Amino acid sequence: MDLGLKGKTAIITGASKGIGKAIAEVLAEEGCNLHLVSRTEADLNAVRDDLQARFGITAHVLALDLAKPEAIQTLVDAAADADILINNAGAIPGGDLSKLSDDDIKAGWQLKVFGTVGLVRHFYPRMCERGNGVIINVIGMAGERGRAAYIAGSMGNAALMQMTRTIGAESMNHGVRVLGVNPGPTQTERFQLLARANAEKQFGDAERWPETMGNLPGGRGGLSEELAAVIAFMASPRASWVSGTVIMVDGGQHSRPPA
Amino acid sequence: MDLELSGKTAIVTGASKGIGRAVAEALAEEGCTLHLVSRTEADLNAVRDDLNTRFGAQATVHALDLSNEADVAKLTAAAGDCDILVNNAGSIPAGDITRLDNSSIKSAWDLKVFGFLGLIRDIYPRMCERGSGAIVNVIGMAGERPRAAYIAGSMGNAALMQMTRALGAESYDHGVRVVGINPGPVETERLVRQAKINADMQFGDESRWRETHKDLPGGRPGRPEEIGWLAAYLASDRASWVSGTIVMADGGQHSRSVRA
Repeated sequence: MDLGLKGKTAIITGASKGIGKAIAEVLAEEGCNLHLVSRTEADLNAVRDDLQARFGITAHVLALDLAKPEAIQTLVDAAADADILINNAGAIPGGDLSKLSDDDIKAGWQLKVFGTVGLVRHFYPRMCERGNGVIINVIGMAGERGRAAYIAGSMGNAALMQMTRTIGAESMNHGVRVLGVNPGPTQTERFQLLARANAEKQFGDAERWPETMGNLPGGRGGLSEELAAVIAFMASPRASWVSGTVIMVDGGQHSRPPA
Repeated sequence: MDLELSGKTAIVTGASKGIGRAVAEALAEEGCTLHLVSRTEADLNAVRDDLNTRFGAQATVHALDLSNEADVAKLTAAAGDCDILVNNAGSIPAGDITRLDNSSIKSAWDLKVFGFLGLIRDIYPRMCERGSGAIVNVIGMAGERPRAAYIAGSMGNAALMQMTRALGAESYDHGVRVVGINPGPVETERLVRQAKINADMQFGDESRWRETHKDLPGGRPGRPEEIGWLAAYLASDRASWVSGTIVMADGGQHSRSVRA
């Protein structure tokens, strides 16, 4: 299926690893030019060089900390006319309410929630004025299935889901789509490190980490490239009637009865 | 994006027109072999010939009434080993609860609810045994945003959504995916017919039917191909981690605060 993405320009935040890096790869394969954003320039340069070499696209690196408002302005100045904005950066720390002060929660939300809100505040009106564009927010299943031990993430993700629905409900009136993707546990490097640590604890053997995945669909977490494929399709004109909604991508786990 | 659908076999119900036809077309373009199902053989033959001419797709026509269990059995006997099942046939009549007695609700559900169930009852276990397969249920937004004036559809669609979630939550343990799509209003022949009646009532001019859609997102209903592309994508292995969920496809209307 020709997704019609060739020649479009996409911003991807959190592009140096995990899901963000996988999104960059799929969009590059589909012919998008990219603005790759994260805090670590060396990692971004490696991604840029790899994608330019393999797919012949143009990629720009922006080493920015989007938790800082001035960084958001820098990105706006550098990539104002982007067709696609993928908000993916940010991880909110775990912990229940007794362990997190208000300041901890605000700090946890600064990148993931306010970084996303800040970019949408700038890019959405520009897309509306132009009459086209797509914003995809990569959020997280805790926004749909909250956990007390991940209270700041549950709340922050729920807020982002509702922002996505609210803006995406009116955005088609301006030719723009806004939607979300909620990944469940995804086998990123961070996830595998955790799983290996758990296996070491449980079995005394880090190599047995797949056995710690028992209650996940098919006994595994999602793969970054599986998330990226959904996001690339949804960013494309082939998903032209999908807006104001959040798509659950977790192999069905969110529909399972509580453990 | 190569959806890797080439050579797969798909059943599409309600394939003679509207969304079903658009799904068949998207799958044919990706190289699927098709089983096209609806009640009207002549329409199905026309779709088959069209898909064959344009995409070289192989398609078998099944003129069946899936509200009838014997016809469901005929279809599963002929094509139950499919890789992909797209349940799309059926529309549930409008009316509030004072106007629909139980028997009219049951008969409305015979096709849309029990037709879906009947095919899944047979085909889902076969997919699980094989360790692969995808089921896409095309349901309807009333399951998510109900309306009293469409009570049988609201209830039936909600039931199908929950079936999709329940099966799709465990299906990946067997390598199978079960997903749903909830379209909002889509520009099918039926919708245009109704819009013309509305335009005639509202403006005394049925040619102004598009104006009756001005409150929809972007001032238009969805197009069949927009649902067709989505269904083809979700049926493909490029959606390998999407299961047990319903994708809303209505331009964002379901998230509006007041029904337009």
